Amino acid sequence: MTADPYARLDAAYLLEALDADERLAYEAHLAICRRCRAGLAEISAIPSLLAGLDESVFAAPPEVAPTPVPDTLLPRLLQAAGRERARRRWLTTGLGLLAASCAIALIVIVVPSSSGPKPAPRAMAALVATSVDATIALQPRSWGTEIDLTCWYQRGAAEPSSDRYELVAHGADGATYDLGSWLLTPGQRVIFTSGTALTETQIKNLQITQPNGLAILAFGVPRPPQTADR
Amino acid sequence: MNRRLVAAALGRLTQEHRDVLRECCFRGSSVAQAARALGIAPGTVKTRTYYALRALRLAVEELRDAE
Repeated sequence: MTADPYARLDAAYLLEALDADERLAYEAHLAICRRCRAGLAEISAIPSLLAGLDESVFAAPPEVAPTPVPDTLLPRLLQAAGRERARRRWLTTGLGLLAASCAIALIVIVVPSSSGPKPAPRAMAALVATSVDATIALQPRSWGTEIDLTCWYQRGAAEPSSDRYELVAHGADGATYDLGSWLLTPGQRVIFTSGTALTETQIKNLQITQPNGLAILAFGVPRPPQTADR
Repeated sequence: MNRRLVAAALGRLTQEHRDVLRECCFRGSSVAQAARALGIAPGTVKTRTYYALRALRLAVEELRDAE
């Protein structure tokens, strides 16, 4: 999310696992970083919950015992399975023919999408004060650009209600393209895949807008370095 | 806070998260000690505890809401 080297230290600090130098440096940083203070406050009550627990609770949880089933269940299942087998025999013949005709189409679709490594997701930048966070990854495709978005509410003091968000692309041509919408619920991570016929160089930026149309998060597509004229 | 609920919440975490909490919380290990015990980098201990405590908080809240 951020380049802040202290951003992931709050838990180790609370659990008193940092060495003295690191603890002092973190405390000095806390004094000047509101974001880290907020992060620490989010989980400050959690370590005390673990006090006094038995070590066994940290082991793998026991398998849940299966509930007994009625004696009539097995005969009924066997009967149903027999009927299903008969139905499938007919279905398989038909599907086999269909599959043969689809195979050619599948080869065309699958090969290009499996090529190339997945790009690393990048954080979107907040344009206004917002409790929404998101990362985005752009993947060049033969048909344009695939956009993989992960979006969630930061866990903060004020718990927001579920809301609808939209992804829009601003093209280098000045036009705006709607790339879809999703419902965001607190405590839930939405993984949203979208795409556009635009290539990466044709996208100026991507923005997440809230229901009133206000853009809250943005991602500017990095430009290849320009060759300087001398 | 009910111990049974906390234990159930721990059961919802991944084993990696439970392991790092057992080291740093139950056994009182430092980051370096936990890293040696678990065979992972010290940096991983820090980020893993970061995510483990947040996952635990979420699991506790969900179980409490469900009760």
